[in-house]
Amino acid sequence: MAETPAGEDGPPLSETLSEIRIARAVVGAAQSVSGFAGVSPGRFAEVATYGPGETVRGVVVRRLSGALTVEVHLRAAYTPALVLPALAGQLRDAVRHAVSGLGAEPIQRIDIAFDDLSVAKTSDED
Amino acid sequence: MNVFNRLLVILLDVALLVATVAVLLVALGLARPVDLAPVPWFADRLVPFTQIDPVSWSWAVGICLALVFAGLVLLVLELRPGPREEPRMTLKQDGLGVVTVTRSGVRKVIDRAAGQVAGVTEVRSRLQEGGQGLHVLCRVAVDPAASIPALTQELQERVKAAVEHTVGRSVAEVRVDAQVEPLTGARRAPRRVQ
Repeated sequence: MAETPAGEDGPPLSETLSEIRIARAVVGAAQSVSGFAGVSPGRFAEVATYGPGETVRGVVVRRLSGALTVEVHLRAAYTPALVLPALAGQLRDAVRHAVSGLGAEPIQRIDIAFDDLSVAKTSDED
Repeated sequence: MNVFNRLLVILLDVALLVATVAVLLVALGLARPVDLAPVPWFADRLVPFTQIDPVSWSWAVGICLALVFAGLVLLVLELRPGPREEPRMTLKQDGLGVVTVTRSGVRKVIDRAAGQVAGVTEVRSRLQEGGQGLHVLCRVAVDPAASIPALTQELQERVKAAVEHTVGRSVAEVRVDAQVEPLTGARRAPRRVQ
């Protein structure tokens, strides 16, 4: 499938966007969210989106009846202030914004899977 | 290895086993090529093994036995069930999708909250979902000089607050199983507070 870069005026390019490109945008969007500690490649089976010569781990992008479904597996950076449902909401917003910025078709659902929590070990935790 | 690769390896392995066993049976004189081969092409490949010299026969039988053994080992390895998926808790499910977290992730929150209680030297936790909320069991090793009732009460409060804040699910119960001995490899004399 050939890719065409998204124009500045944002014409719909959904038919030209590959899943791998969307997955890259999803990872980039997730990285911009505070509390995101990294994608998780999956703990049971590999979670990834595959493209020609490239694999984006931790994100699965599927096209189902004209809409996108996105699954993000990640590690959250634990702090006492962390609220996982709120972080999931921020991630969804960031992903939705990034994908719509590419001109892709609408996202039907975004599943967020916290595979692990990264707990920083500090000497003065309290 | 994904499902396609695994199926491909199993098919090739079965083909190798069938061919090797056929060669072995023919070489040992236990079957004739025409009895084993469904197609003439395969029978033609087996015929030379009926008339090989003793040295080549030894090599053929030895290699076939090795291949059968390797093929069976590979088949068993490939047919073994994979690792079980780690249990997850659903934090949120709506029209936008599902938000889940692994139980081990929640246990990290529990262990950290419990580990911050003064007098707790080691923590191991378990987690179960119930109708009323989450049920947490904390096994902790404590400082012998610590006051167990005060320590366990603080631990229960901290764990409940940390889990409810981070995960957004209510905690119905925090059981504490305290012991003075280290948790690792020690038989314990628990003092349980509910």
